[in-house]
Order: sequence, then structure tokens, then C-alpha cells
Amino acid sequence: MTLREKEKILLQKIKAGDKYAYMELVTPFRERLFRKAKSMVKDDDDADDIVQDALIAGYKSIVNFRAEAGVYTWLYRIVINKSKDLLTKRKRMVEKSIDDNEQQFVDERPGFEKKLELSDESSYLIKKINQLDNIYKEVIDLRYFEEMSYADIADLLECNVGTVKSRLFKAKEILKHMILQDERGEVKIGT
Amino acid sequence: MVHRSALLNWLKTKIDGLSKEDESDHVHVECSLIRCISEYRDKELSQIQLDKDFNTRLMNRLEHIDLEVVETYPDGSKRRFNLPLVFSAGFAVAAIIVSVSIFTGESDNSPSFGKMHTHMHISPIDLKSSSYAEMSPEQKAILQELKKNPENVRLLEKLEYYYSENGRKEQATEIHSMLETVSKKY
Repeated sequence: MTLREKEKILLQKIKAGDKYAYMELVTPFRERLFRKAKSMVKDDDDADDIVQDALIAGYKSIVNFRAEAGVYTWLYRIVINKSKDLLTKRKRMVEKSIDDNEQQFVDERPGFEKKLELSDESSYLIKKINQLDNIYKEVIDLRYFEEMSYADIADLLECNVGTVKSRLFKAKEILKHMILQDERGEVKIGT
Repeated sequence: MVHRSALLNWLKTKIDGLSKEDESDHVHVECSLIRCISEYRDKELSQIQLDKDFNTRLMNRLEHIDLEVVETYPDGSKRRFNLPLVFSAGFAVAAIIVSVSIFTGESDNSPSFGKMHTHMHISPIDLKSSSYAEMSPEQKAILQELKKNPENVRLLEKLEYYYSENGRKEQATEIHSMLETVSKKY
């Protein structure tokens, strides 16, 4: 049985009122959703709350869920929206308390920010990915970390599949050139 | 700090063939990306420790949610209903009819109860600005009936919750105003 087939069976049970089926459906996604929320709101407790709220919102609107999209992509989008809502609230609070020229910058950049013990190759490539522009970093993240299909990425980014493919191609081109530059000694590696 | 020469040697062994400017470069980058991000993902996700009570909290919250169930008929049409209201759908419909009859503006001020009106195109009267004294005797009587029977109030509260949960704020506000009116002492 494929993952998608399993999802469909669970969805049928959920729509019949089975709450445990919903828990079974979403449990594998919790950590990944938390990671996304944390990357946006930069706070563990807020990220935890956002994932809880997103999963509740997902349950409430499960009857509207379009089966052609993956459940994870759908929940991922809810997490993004809830994180944006929180960032907007924070921004308003900051605007009230701090003068315009003193406003704090909220870092919403996608990326691979966490310092992890990785192999030399991975550590090197992660550093290069983090040097990419956000639009390229974003598609790399969605494609290779989240393992989303082109269609799901396009749906999420509200663009067409061609644009997604083109951005991914460009991202890999830039990475290739960065690596080649390092190989030729044009850019100092490890700095 | 890793020395550049050592890294160059490493690059040649690990990403061999990158300097050959052909399509296989992309395959090398692709393979490296998959390998590297897979390693990154495994390590990052393994370090995420959600609250131990995460699932318990989620389940507790789910217990308080009444899911709207969709029933699909053989012709493909869908009917939606709320689980707790399934057994009281008749009462709910009755309450809606009564509420529409009472709180829909009637220019001739004629008794409306019992006529099964569903004038949804007519704007409801503004309950906030309407006083009990301005209501017709029939409307007052129905309000009194609603007050006497807690089941009616409970049903209306359910309807209010149902509408608010489904984004139909106008109807929810209308029922809320009605409940407020009912709860007042005259």
C-alpha cells in the first residue's frame, strides 16, 4: 500500500468522525511542521503552539481537503499562514513600542540554519546552499528536504510547475558554478 | 579551518567530474544535494524534541471539536451536517424557521409565527437597536417560550457555534443577539 493510499483510507475514517485516525495521519508530520514554524517564528514555544493550532485548523476543515494534494503539503501551508499571522502580530506590537527607525528585523529566510555535525561534503554543500538567494533556497528546501513533488511546490508557491523546474535548474547551476570556482581557487573555501 | 588544498583534493574525489562542462554536472550536483540534505534532515529532525504532552494536548482539543460530516449521495451531490446536530436536525430546522419568522422585518407587522416564513432575502432587523417594547405580541410570546424551554436555548447555542465554526458570522451574530435578547429579564 502506498503512502497516498494509506492517507486516503485514513481520510475516509476521519471524515466519518474518527479522531484517532487523524492523530495517526498527522503524527509523522509533527517534527517537520515544527521545523518550518520554528524557522519562521524563531521560538520553540510559539512554533509548538502554531503546529497545534494548524493541526486543529486542519481537522476542522478536513472536509474541504482536496485529495489530489498531499496531506503534508496542505498542513505545511496552514503552518506557514499561522506563522505569518504571528509575525504580523509581533510586527504590530513592535511598531507600537519602538520607533520606526529602531524596528527589529524579523528574519523569515528559508534555509538550513541549524549547526549540525555533518560530513565534510554535506557541510560544504549546506554552506553553499545558504549563500543562494531566497527563491532558490526555498525550492531546494521544498524539493530536497520536504521531498515535495513539483506540482505541490508550484501549488504552495502559487506559480506554475515550469517556474519551479526553472528555479531548481538555476539553483543547481549556481551551486555548480560556486563549486567550480572553489575548485579553481577563485573563492577561498572554508571561510 | 580546513586547508584549501586538502578540500580541493577532497572535491576531486567526492564530486569527480564536475570540471567537465557537460550535462553530467547536474547529475553530480543532484546526487550531492540528495545525499547532503538527506543527512541534514535526519540529523535535524532527530534533534527536534516536541513537548511530551503534545499528542495529549492535541487529542484533548480534538475531543471538543464536532466535525462537519459530508454525506455523498449516489448522484454525486453532497450533504453536510454537524454530528451532534444529526439527532436534532428537525429541531434545528424548526428553530431556524422560528428565528427567521420572528426576526425578519415584516412591514405590515402581521403575526408571522406559524407561517413557515423563510424570507432570507429580507434583511433581519437590527436586534441591537430593537427594544423588547417594539416587538409584536407574537414575537414577545415566542421569546417567552424560548426562555421557558432551556432545550430551545441550548439548540440555538449549538446553531450559533455551528455557524461561527463554519465562518457564517452573520448568522452566528444574529443568533447570538437573539440569545442575548432571550436571556434578558423583562
